[in-house]
Amino acid sequence: MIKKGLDIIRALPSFLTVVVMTVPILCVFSFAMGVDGQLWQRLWATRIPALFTSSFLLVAIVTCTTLVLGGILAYLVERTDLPLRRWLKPLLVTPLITPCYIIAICYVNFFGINGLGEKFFYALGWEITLPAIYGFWGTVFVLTFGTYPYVYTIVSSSLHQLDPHLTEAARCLGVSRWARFCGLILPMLLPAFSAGAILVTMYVLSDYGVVSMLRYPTFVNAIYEQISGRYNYSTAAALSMVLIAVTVLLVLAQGMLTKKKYYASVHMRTKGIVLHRLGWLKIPSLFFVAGVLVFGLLLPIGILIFWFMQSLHLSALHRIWAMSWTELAHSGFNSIFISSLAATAAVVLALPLAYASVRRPESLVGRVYFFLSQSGIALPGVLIALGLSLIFSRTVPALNFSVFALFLAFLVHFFAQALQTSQAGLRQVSPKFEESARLLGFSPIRSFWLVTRPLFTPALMTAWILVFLSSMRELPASLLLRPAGFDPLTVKIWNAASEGFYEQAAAPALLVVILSLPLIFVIIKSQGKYTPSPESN
Amino acid sequence: METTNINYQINLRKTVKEKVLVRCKDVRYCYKSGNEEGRHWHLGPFSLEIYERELLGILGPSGCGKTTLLRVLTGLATPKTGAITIADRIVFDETLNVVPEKRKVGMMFQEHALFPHLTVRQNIVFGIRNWQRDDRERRLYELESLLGLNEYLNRYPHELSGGQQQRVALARTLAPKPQIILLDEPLSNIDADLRMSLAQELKSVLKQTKTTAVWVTHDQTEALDLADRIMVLNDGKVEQVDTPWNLYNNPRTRFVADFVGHAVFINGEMKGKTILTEVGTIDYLPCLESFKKLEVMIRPDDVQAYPYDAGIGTVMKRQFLGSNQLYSIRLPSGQTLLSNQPSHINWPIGTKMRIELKLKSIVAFPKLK
Repeated sequence: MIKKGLDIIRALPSFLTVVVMTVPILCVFSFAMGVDGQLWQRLWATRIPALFTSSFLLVAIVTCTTLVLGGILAYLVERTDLPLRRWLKPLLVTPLITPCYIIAICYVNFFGINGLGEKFFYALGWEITLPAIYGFWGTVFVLTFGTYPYVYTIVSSSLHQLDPHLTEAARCLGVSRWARFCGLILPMLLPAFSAGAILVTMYVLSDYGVVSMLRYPTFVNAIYEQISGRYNYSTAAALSMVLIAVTVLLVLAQGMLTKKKYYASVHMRTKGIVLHRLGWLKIPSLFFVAGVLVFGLLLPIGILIFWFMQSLHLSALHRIWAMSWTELAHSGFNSIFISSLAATAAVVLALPLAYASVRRPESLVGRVYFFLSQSGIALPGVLIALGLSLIFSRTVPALNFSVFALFLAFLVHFFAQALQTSQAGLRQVSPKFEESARLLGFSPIRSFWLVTRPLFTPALMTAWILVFLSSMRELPASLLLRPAGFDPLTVKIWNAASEGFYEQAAAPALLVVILSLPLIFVIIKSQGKYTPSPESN
Repeated sequence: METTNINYQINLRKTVKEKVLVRCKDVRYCYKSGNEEGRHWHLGPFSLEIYERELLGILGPSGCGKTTLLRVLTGLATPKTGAITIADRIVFDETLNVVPEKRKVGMMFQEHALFPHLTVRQNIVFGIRNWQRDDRERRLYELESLLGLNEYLNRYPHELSGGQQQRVALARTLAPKPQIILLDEPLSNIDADLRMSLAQELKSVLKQTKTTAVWVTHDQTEALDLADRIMVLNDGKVEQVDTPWNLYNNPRTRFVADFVGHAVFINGEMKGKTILTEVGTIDYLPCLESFKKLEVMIRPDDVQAYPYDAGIGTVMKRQFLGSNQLYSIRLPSGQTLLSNQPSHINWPIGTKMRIELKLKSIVAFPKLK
């Protein structure tokens, strides 16, 4: 009895964390419940079917394209004799450093009549008409190049760990190459593909920047419009409910598809892999990989640099968006300040929860984890912003549109990342170290401090970096919740770009890209162990 | 299921009363297993006394609860019922549960669990970091000269070989002078050719430092060789606690007879005052009269065999063990006997054999239906 009580007291801070993490969404829920029936009817009759179709279509197509692209690239890099594959392997992750909405901004101006692309080819002496990128296929194009690395990292690390003995065994049984591929390698990779697909689905469903830049209507887009343009919280909440339902359905559906298909064959034996000889396909494959790198990384960065060079020549009069160096430094500081605040809080709060769930999975706190880990990251930033806005406007209006609200939005949104990463890190540290320390006479807390903490610090750093970068790159919540006079970098980029002053968006965008560089190391190091879901919307 | 060797009468336990260091009384541990059937696995209830300066071996097949027993002693696992006393101090009963760090029980983990971020020196002094500097240095010096560690003090655990890691782990465990140390399969990840010499080294260090120790192993030769007394565990139950000699020669249960040493059982029938078996009669056993059918334990050393054309046995298999050979000899009824022979003997398979039993002690169990 006493032990139970103690357990509850110990679990209290964790419960508070859970409450903070879930209240915004619950608030949206309860608000949507209060929406009157007529509005629901009107929405069902007008908006919802169209939004449903367009969102669903986008998710389906982008998931397919990323699976194909990511899968092919992973296979080329891991299992063929592609030239330069050791170099290409990490390079193919790099498109992640450019947030998708920045890629979208670049391509909106590059493609289309009188765009940067046409000017470029004209300067070379060719007159080519490039189609505009707005609409469905443009969105698919940008999102594919922006999100394929999620699939690529997971599938390639899974391929990397695939035991070569298995294929060798199949060869000895006389199975042909094609049959080996379809009957053995693909099914073994199914969990990896499914994990990648879930990440991409989540991403596309919650994306705001790309779809609104490319003028493709989705749920998130519509919700954002209701909140910021019309201040119509009822419609926003109602649409959010539908979006949550769609998200849950899609995740469940994907879970069903790959139910009970977990293959454990982790031998980490990379010797003896027989590489697929590409033969005449070698050169086309190399071009294919180069093309992916050009569209995913080099072209957007090149465009940003080009704009940045141009912006240096702008006269002071034209700097409407006040892109002076001091202004840039100021918003840079804002971004770093709020992101480090969110990252620190997330790591500190995640630590006890992660510890309890890894070391004492049967405890009360351990069980709560499952609930938490599933929410948060799965839901769009727009929804979290909406929930916080609803709470604050009813309770403490002064906190609405404040640094605190923004901080809380980031914390709620990215807490799961910190939790998952610290969990993964803690699993690597054997509990025997701590037990040894205790038997040598140290209290549990001191044992943790002396032994587990030093071994666990790298994972905590990773968690911190992930949350920091996610917060720094977050767009819709920043747009919705920022207080006047506190513009993070993302808001600067967005404001300049949506008014068409692309040159002035270049400097903050490049700064975001440069600050994102640590991400690459984190993802390559983790080899798909952590959820590589570092950017948002 | 429980079959008892009724012949177990001669108690060879030392009559000299030694000081009891650890006393477990009716300790029962329930293992909350995660499996779906919800089957609860129990260790015990068992009672156990560990004498001062003794080396107690715990022997049993994997999964029998050996490691759990150690964890119960350390306090890392909490039993459901019972009481544990260490050096006249109650560390566990219904009302009290002393935390592991206060029990002064040292433990060497299976994979040594050396702290990977600390050097050998830091690992060894980890448990005595609160001591006075001079005392600490003296203790470190004692241990490094005892275990020959002076060359490695500034290395990290991953730079050491298995044997070196083991010495460091022992030094770390001994450093705070625990009342008792527990060794969980200390030789499990050591190469086979090094194992025996390292085992002897460990034992001599334990004896030199007059340490009371509990040594867990699943390897019977290791246990028979090293331990003063051995506790045989099977599926959470204590089968027998005894000296190695008694365990081998007077196993109390069928399981112990089977598990310790090579033994075969042949059917016997009680006839008057003797047991009739296929290979001859065995003398009178006073306490087995009430049983009709028996199983008699026969060790390979007890079987004498000679090639003989009219013999009843046939050589079926031979296992060459280096210094000796183990011959499997089939009897007409299909039962098989094992016979230990010197390595120079060379009987081809199929040779007919005459067999004589030279039993030193008679161990028999009632035959199960």
